[in-house]
Amino acid sequence: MIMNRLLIASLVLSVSATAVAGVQPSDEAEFYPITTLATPADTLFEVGAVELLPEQKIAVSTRRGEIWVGQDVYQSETPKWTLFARYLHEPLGLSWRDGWLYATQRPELTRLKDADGDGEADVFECISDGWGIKGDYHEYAFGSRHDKDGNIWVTLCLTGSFTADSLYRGWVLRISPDGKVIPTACGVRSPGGIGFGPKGEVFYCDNQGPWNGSSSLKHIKVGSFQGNPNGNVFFPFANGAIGEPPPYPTLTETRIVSERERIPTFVPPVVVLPHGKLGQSPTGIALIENEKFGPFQGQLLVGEQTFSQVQRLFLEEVNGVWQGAAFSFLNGLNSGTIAVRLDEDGTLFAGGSDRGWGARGGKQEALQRVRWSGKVPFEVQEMRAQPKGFQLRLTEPIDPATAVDGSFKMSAYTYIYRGAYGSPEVDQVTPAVKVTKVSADGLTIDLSVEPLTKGHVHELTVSGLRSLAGKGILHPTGYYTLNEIPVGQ
Amino acid sequence: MHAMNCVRIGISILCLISVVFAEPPEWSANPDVAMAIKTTEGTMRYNLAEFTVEPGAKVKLTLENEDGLQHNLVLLKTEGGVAAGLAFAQEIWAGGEAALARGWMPADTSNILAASRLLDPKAVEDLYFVAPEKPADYPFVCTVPGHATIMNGVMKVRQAKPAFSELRYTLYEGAWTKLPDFAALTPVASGQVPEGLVSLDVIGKRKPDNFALVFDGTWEVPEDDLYEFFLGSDDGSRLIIDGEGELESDGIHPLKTVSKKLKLSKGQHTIQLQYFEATGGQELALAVKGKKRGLLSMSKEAPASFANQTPPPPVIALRPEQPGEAVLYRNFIQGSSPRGIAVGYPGGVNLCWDADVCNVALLWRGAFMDAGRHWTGRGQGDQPPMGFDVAAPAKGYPIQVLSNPEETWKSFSVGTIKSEKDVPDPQREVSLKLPNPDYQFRGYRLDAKKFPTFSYRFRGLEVTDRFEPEAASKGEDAFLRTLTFRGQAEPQTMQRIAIVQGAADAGGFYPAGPIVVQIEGAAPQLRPVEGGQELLVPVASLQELKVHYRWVAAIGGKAAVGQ
Repeated sequence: MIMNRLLIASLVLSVSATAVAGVQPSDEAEFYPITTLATPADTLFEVGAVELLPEQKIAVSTRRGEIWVGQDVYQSETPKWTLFARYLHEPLGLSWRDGWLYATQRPELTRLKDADGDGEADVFECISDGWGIKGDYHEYAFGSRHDKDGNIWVTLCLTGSFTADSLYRGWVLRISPDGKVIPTACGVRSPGGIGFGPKGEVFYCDNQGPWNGSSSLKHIKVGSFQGNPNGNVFFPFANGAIGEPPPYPTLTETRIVSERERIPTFVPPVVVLPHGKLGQSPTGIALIENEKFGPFQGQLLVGEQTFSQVQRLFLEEVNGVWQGAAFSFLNGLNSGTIAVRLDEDGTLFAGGSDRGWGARGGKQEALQRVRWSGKVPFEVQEMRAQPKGFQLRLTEPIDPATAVDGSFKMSAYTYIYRGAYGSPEVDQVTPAVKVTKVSADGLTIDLSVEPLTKGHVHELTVSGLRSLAGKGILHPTGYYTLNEIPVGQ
Repeated sequence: MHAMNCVRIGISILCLISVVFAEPPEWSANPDVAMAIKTTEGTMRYNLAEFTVEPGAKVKLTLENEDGLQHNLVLLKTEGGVAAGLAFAQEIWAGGEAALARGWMPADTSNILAASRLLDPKAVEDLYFVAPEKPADYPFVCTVPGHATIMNGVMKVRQAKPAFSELRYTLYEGAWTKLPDFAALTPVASGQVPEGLVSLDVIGKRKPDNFALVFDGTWEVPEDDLYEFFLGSDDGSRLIIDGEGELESDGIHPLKTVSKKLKLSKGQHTIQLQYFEATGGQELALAVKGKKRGLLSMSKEAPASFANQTPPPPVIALRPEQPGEAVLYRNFIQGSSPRGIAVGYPGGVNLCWDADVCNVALLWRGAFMDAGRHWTGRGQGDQPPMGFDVAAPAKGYPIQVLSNPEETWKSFSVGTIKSEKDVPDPQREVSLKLPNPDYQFRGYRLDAKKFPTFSYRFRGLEVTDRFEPEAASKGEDAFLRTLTFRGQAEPQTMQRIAIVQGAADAGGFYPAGPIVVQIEGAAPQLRPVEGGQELLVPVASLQELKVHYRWVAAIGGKAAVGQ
C-alpha cells in the first residue's frame, strides 16, 4: 500500500519536473487551469502592468508604451481590445481612480483621460517627475496602485548593476495625490514589481545581484534600508525625509543577520526565493484577499519572469518583522511573468514578456487568465515559525500513518551579504525534523526542528506525507526565511 | 528622392579623383587584417558598429552592399568617434548640389583614410589602408544624406600589448578524454612564453595528438570593471582565475566557445589556462573584453566569434497611423535628455521636446524615429532621429529671469554625487540632472490630429508650447511654434528661442544651423555667446509668441541666408 502511494507520488512529481515550455503541468491544471487570451494583432503585447476597470474591463500596459482596454476578458478567450493610450515610455504600473488611469512610466507618473470621448486618451497630466533617469535601460520605475492615503509608491531600479547615476535610483518614493515626492526607503537594487499585503503593507520584489545573494520579496517600511548601499548617495537630496544615511555595510563578506545588528533600519528580505530553485527574477505581486481563489486567503502571489511561473508566499509577522515561506504554485506560463493582478472574484490575470532576457515559456508576449477550479489541491497551506520548529497547516486532512519523521527532510542555508554579484548558498545546516503533534482534525502538524538558525532559509521537503485520500503534496517544498525565531515554549 | 539622386551620382562617379579611390597596394595579397563590413538589407545599417585593429596594421576591408539602396563607406583620419563621423557627413550634405555631383564626397579629401565608391545594391568593393599609428576611435559613415545618422561606426586603433606580464607553459603527454588532474602528472617540458600570448606554438612544432598544456600567467587588470572572458578550444579547456575555476569547456569536442562575465579589481591576477588535445583538430584561444575597453586577445589565435558581432536590431520605422496625424515616441533619444518626447508630424517634419527642461531639443525633417533599438532585446542606448538636417536651436531651459543683461543662460540644473566604497570606481564623481524648482512639466494634450500641446509652469507663469507643420515653398519645410503665457511674468523674463549664427535676412529669418528662425510679433534681443548669438524674446507683456522654423534649402542643402 505504502509502495503504491510512493509510486503515485513519484509520478506526480515527474509530471511537474518535465513541464514543457509554455504548457501547464496537468496536475496543476486540475486545480488552477490557465487560459491564454488572444492579444491584439499588429503589436507586440509585452505586458508590464494590468489594472481592473469598472464594468469588467481591464487595462493592460505594454513595453511599447501602449495601454489597451480589454472587454470580455473574464469570459472569452478572444477578448475585444481597444487601444486606450499610446506613446508612453514603458509603463510598469497602472492604477484606476476617480475616472483617471494613473500610469507609472519610466520618466514620470502620469494620469490619463479620454476627454473628447473618442475612446483614446488625449489628456496626459504629469503628476510627478521627481526622479532622475540617465538613459540606461535598467532604470525601470515600477508603480503601485494607490494606497489608502492616495499615494502611489514608486520603486526605482539602479542605473546599472553597480551604479546609481541619477536621482533616487535605488529608492522608493511615494507620490502624493498633489504630486509631492516623499522619499520613503533606500537600498533597492533591481525591483520587479510592487504590491500590497493583507494589512496594506507594501512589498516589492528585488532581484539577485550585488548585495542580494538571492532574489526575494521585501517589505518597504517607511525609512527602511533594503540592503543595497549604492543609492545612498542621494541622502543629501532627500532633506532628511528618512533621516541620516544608514551605516555603510561591512565590506568583508558578511551575513544579513549580523548586519541587521549594525544597521538599525535594515529590513531583511521577507521571503527569499532561492535563486535557481524557485525562479531567478521575481516580479509582480498580488494579494489573495478572499476565499474565491482557493484556500490561500491572505497570501501573496508573486510572478517569476525567467522561469515563467507564479509562486505562492505565506507571510507572518514575528517580533515585528515580516517573514514567511514560498512555494511553487503555477508553472508553464507562456512568457516571462511580469504583471499579476487578482480580481476579488477570483480571476487572476498574469501577463509578461521575455524582454530580451529570455523566459522558459518561450513566447515574447502573453496575457493569461487563471481561476480556481473549486477542487482543493493537497498543499502545505501555511508554514509558521514556532519557538522550536514549524507548524504546517495542510489543505486536506492527512493520513496520520504518514505523519512520521521520515516524511520530512530539511536543509537550511543562507547567502553571503556582499557587493559582488549574487552569492552561493552558504553556512549549510541539516536540522533534525521530528513530528511532535498532529491535530485531531488531521490538518495541522507540529514539527520540532533542531537547530533553528536565525536568518537562514529553512527548506522543507515533505515527500512522504499523504492525504487521507492518498494524495501526495502537489508542491512538496517550502522555503521559509527565518528572520526571527518566535519566543515562547 | 533617393532614386533620382542615385541616377545622377552614377554618372558623376566616373570622374572622381583617384587619391581617395586608390589602386590596391603591393601588400594587398598579404594584409595583416582582412575583414568585411556589410550593409544589411532593409535596415540602413552596417553589420558592425566597431572593429579594432593595431596601429600601423595593413587592412583589407571588404564592403558588401546587401541593401537595396546605394551606400558607401568612408573611413576618416579624424579622431572623435561617431560624432565626428556624423559631423563630417552633415558637412557633405550641406554642400548640396556640388556634393551630389561629387557622389556625396567632400571637395577636400585630406581627412579621408579610405573610401569606397557609392556601391550599387549587391555590389562589393575591397578597400586597402594602413591604420594610423595613434590609438583612437576613427569614425566611418555612409555619406548619402540622412544615412549617417544610423549608418556609422568606429575603427578602434589599439596598441596590442602582450596580455600577460608573466607567462609560463607546461607540457604533458597522454591520451585523455577530459582534462586530467595535472597535479598527479609529470610534465615533459616547461618554459617561459616571452611573447606573453597563449599559443599552441609555444612548444615549437605542434604535437599532432594526445598532449596537454597548462599556461600560468599574471594579468595586470587595468581598472575595476566587469570583464567578459571568451575561451575557445578544441578539445577541452578550463580557465582558473586567482585559483578559482571560472570557465570550463571540458571533454572532446570541435572548436567551442564559452564565455563568462566577472567583476575584477585593478591589479595583478593570476590566470591559469588548462588545455588538452586528444586527436583531430586543435585550437586554443582566450580573449577578454572590459566594459570600458575593447576586446583584448590573450592568445595568438582569436576565432571570429570572439568579436561579438551581434546583429543590429531590426528597423521599426514609426510613422503616423492616419494621413494628417502626428505620431509620438517617448524614449531615449540622442540629442535630448532621457525625457525626450519625439513627435513626427505629417509632411515629414519632426521634433523632440525635452520634458526634462520643458523645451524643444531637436527639429529635423525626413523620416521620424526607428524604435527597433528600444523595442527589441533589452533596449539599451539612445536612438538618433531617423531623418536629417537635425537642428538643435537652443538646448536647455527656455525661460530665465535675467537679473542683469549679462547674466549667462542656465541651461541645465546639475549637481554632483560621489559614489561610495563598493562600486568599481569608488570616489568617482558623477554629475546628474536635478529637478529645477522653477519648472514643473505638466504634461500634454493631444488634439484630434494627435498634435501635442505641452504645458509647464515656470514660477508664476503657466506656459503652453505647440508646434504645427507650416506651408512652405517647394523643397522647403517649416514649423510654426506657438507659445502662450498665462500669469504674471517677472520683469526681465526672457524666452530663449535659438542660438543664431548671423544677422536676419530681409524677411527677419536668422540662420541657426540647418534651419532659419523668425520671431513673429515681438522684437528679439541678441546677445553674443559661444557659437553665435542668443536670440531672446522678453516675455513680460506677452500672451502669445509665434516662432517660425524653416529649412530653406533642398534636402541636405545649405541654408543660404543672412547675406
